[in-house]
Parts: sequence; C-alpha cells; structure tokens
Amino acid sequence: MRVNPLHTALLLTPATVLILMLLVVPVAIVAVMSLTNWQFGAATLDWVGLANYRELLADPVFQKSISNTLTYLVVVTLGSITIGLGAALLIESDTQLRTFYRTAFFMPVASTLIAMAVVWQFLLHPSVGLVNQALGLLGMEPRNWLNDGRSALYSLAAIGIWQMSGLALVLFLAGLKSIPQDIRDAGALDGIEHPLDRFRRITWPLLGPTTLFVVTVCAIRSLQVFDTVHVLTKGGPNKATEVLLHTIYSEGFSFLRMGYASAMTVVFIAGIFFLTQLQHLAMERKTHY
Amino acid sequence: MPDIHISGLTKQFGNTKVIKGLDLTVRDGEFLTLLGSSGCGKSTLLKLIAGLDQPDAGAIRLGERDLLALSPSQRDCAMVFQSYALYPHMTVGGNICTPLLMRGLGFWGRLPGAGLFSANTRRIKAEAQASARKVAQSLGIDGLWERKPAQLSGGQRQRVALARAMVRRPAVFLFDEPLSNLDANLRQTLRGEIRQLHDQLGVTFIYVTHDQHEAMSMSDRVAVMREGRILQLGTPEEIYTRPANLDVARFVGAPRINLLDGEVKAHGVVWAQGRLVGHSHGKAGPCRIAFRPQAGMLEAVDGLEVEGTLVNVEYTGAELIASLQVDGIEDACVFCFPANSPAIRVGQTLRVSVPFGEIHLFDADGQRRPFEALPPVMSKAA
Repeated sequence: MRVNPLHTALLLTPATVLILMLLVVPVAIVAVMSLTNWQFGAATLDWVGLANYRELLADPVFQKSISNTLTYLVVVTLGSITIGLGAALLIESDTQLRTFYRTAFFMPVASTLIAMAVVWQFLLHPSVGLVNQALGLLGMEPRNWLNDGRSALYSLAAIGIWQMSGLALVLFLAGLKSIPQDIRDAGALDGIEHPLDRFRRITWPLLGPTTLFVVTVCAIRSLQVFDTVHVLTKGGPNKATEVLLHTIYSEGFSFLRMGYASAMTVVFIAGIFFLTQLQHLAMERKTHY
Repeated sequence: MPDIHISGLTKQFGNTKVIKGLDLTVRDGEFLTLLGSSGCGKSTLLKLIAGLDQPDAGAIRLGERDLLALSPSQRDCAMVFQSYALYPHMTVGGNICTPLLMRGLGFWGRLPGAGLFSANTRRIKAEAQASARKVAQSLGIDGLWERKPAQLSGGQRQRVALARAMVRRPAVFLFDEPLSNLDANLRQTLRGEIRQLHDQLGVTFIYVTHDQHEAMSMSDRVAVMREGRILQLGTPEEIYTRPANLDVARFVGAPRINLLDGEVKAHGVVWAQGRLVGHSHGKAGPCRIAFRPQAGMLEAVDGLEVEGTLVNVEYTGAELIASLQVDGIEDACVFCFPANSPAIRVGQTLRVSVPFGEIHLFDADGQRRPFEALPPVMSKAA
C-alpha cells in the first residue's frame, strides 16, 4: 500500500508537537536564557554572551557542588547496586516471602522522599535520634550526622541508597528471572556449581544489560538529588552538601539570578545527556550478545 | 561402563504427578529414545537422570553407584538442550573449554588472572584449549572459534553444544529434543551425524523427542511414554510391528493407524466388518481391529474389506493419501497408495482390501491381544 505523505505528517503531528512543547522549546529557552543576565521577575535583560559560563568555571560554590554531586552519585550508585543485587540474589534463591520482601524493599521508592526526609531527620537527630541511641548502646560516640561537614554528605547518600536500592532490587529481580533455566542447567552439568563460580560465570555476565540500565537510572536519579538536601541541610554545613540541583535552585529562586542558574542547568542537562549516551554505547558494545 | 538402572522413580510438581513409579534399564552403549507427546514426562525423566531435579521417590543407579547422591557434574553425564543453552557471553572456544576448565582447575585456579601466578594453571588451560580445538575440528566448527553464539546459525549452535558435551568424554549423553528448533533439511543431516557420533563414541545416548521419525530412525531401542509411564520399550521394529497397546499403535506410524470395532466370539473367533478375520485366545467380547494406512490395497485380495466414500485425497509425490468415510465409524480410514495407482476422485465409493496378516488386535481397554490371522485363500473362487 502506498502511504500518503500527508497522512504520515498528520500521524506524526501529536508526538512532534508534544516533544517540541515539553522538551525542545523549554531547553532552548533555558539555553538562550543562559546567555543573558535576566533576573527573576525583571522586565529587562541584557545579552552577556558566555559571561555566565566563565563565572561558573571560577565559582568555588559551583565546583564544590559538582564534586559533591559526583561523590553522591558514585556512593549512591555503588551502594544501591550492591544492596539491590545482593538482596535480589537472596530473594531469588528462596521462594518464601518473596512478595513480602519485594514490596518491603520497594516501599521507599514509592514513598514521597520529602515526607521520608522528615522521618530521617528524627532518626539522625543528634540527641534523641534512633541511630545515635543505637550507637550509644553499642558503646560508640554519637555524632551530629547532618550538621557535621565530614558526615553530612554521606548521611544524605545513605538515605539515597535506602531509597534507590529498592528500585535496583526490582530491576535485578526481573533480570534474574530472564536468565534461561537451560543455561543454569548447562552450567550445573559443566561443573559451574560453586555459588561464586555461578555468579561470576553465568549470573553476572547475563545480568549485564540489567546492570547497565540500573547504573544509568541510579546515576541519573542521583544527579537529580534535591528533596533530602533541601529539607535536611539546605546545602550546609558550609556548602558540605551543596549539590547541583540545589545550587541551581538557590541561584535561580533565592538569589533570582535566572541567567546564571540557566547556565548551570545547561551543564546539568549536558551531564545527563552524556551519561545516557555512555549507556547507549556500552549497551551496543558489550552487553548485547 | 555399567547399565543405568532406574526403579520406582516418582516425581510430582505440586499436585501433578509427572513421573509415576517408572522402571527402566538403559543398557551400556545403547541409543535409547524416550518418545512421547509434550507433557508425558520425558524431559523430566531426563532432568532427573542428569541431576538437575530431584525425584520424590525411587532410585537411579549407574551400576552400583547411586546417582542420586551425586551432583550433576559428578554424574558424568553431558546434556544437549533444545535451546542449545550456550553461554551467550563466551566465544565458541570459551563455551567448549568451560567444562574442562571447571573440572581441571581448583577454586583459586578459576579466579581471573590465576594463570599469571601458576604455571600449572597455565598448563591446564593450554591442554583444555588443545582438546577443545580437537573436538571442534572433528565437528567442523573450529573456524567459528572466536565467534559469539549470537553470530551463529541454529545448526552451528547445536554443533557447538554437541562439542561442549563431547569434550568431557562423558559416560552418558543426554539429548533434550536437540533438533526441534532446526529446519527440516538440517534436522535430517544432524540426525545422521548424531547417530554416527554414537557409533564412533560407543557410549550410552539417551535421547528425548516427540518426533517419531527421529525416534525410529536413530535409536537402538525406543521407550514410548505417556502420562509419566513407559507404555512400551523395544526396538523401533517391535514398536512399529507389534505395538503393545492402542496408545503406542496410535502414536507411532504416520498417518495414524486405522481403527475398526470388532468382536471376539465364542471359541476365540474374531469378527469384523461382518466377516471372520482370524482367531484370538482369551475371553470373548468387543475388541478393536487396527491396521496401518500402508496395509490397504486397491486390488481385491482376500482380506478385510473396507468400503466407503472418498472424502479427501492428498498427493505427496511419492504416494496418495486417501481418507475414506466408512459407515458406522466416526474417524475416516486413511490409506496410502502408490502414486501411480489408478485415478481416484473425491466423492467416489472405494473398496479397499486389507490382508488379514496386517491386522493388529486390541482389547476393548486397549491392550494388545494374541491374534492368529485367517490364512489367505489363494483364489476367491476356491
């Protein structure tokens, strides 16, 4: 059947309009805004070229923010994958209570992090918090988790792991299910019987595509960390937990420097774009058999 | 290598009994096929022998050795799967070497980089490579050594799976419908290759299939299975010419065997289609008369006469397959005639003769019963 080009265009219209309206145009506006010195609410703006980006490069807060975000990303991604994969393997190895564990681990993913952040605030409270109480029982020094510059970022990362490992777990469970029983059987006959061998020679390689996906999702979601920071530390103490999204928010909506915040947003979007491309490349190269 | 003895084997999944107290002896070096339609328990039986699943009751012994106490890799069985079950992340070479490396190397030797520290590990790896190469050469797949399974055709994958099974020199080869995913021509070729392989290696092959052509053409003995039991165990010829019961008779042979109602009267006289066809010892009562489609003849000979309307004629090149609707019988009778037979057309009435000697007699409950065919009369006039 010959397809009328007009029909093709007509059928493509809704998707094209949506993508343009919701994705391309807003990003373009942000990109244009990053070249101006527009203040939030101001009636006028000046063209400043790349001045915002030059300022970014020299801005110590932005540098701190980038390094904090990357630290958070690495800790949360590694932590979530380790815990998620470990728990998935444990749950998969036995049929009992499987649904319960899956639901329990997934709960943090489904809950509102802002609300949960308040719960964590109580848990990590320096004097009455459960964490310090428990440490006290074990004879260890209590800490001021969220207000200590050395531990604040890692405390937030722990909350991030608590939230993200459920997602990793569910994805890994699905990945484990998709490993053909025949291959495990063939492995058993070939002598791949020790659990470590089985993991290294069959499970882990065959989970490759899943792992890559989990890494990307975790990394992108860690880049987007904002709610816990905003509720618990506001980027403090002394910028110890300043992360990219929070910096953008402060610059744009607290200091009203929209042009500067837009420049940061562009960098942020570029980062996410880069991560996705990296995943794509690796997918094609390594993990598709 | 001794025989494999299976006795009283039972396996159930939930409330479904898949294997029901099965007894079987597999002789050393024979090619035994487990034949049955899907769900008859043949693959489950194979997995129990391989150790991939544990039975609920019963024993599996290799000579005096209790196989059930051993792990799959200790049982000295190699298996070829329908899905090939190759390791998708390894090259062909890696796949074939894996069983040797797993057996040859200890826990530390299997860790990555162990070859850097231990000359012994390096030697074992080199030996594994060498013998894997040799097996690959014998199957004509050494040219694919560096490829991944995804880059191979179905036939090549199955050859790699065969090589991976052969490289360990196992005492028993288990095949789980290995040819089912291949196209007809390739299936034919590989059927021959597997049979030749059996003759070269001289070890026991246990082959699971639902394809009666595979079973009949490859095996020394066939075990026809149904609902977790073995219906009949015998050579392909025995299974075809003396089916032990109606289920076997109907499962083996294509097109399917024809059935008519008959009756055993007093003194063991067997009647069918209104005439005497032979004698059978034992109690009187209704019985089933069966004959193969190939037994029918268009020319009139002394024998059972089947008359009906021709409802379908298929020309296959080598023969004509004709379906005859006979009065009082639900299923049409099917006959195979030579392709050069006189022209027959759908709708015409046809009379087919079946020599008495071609008749199989079964009880009303489907068990074969002794049958002595009426000797053919040379001339109808006599």
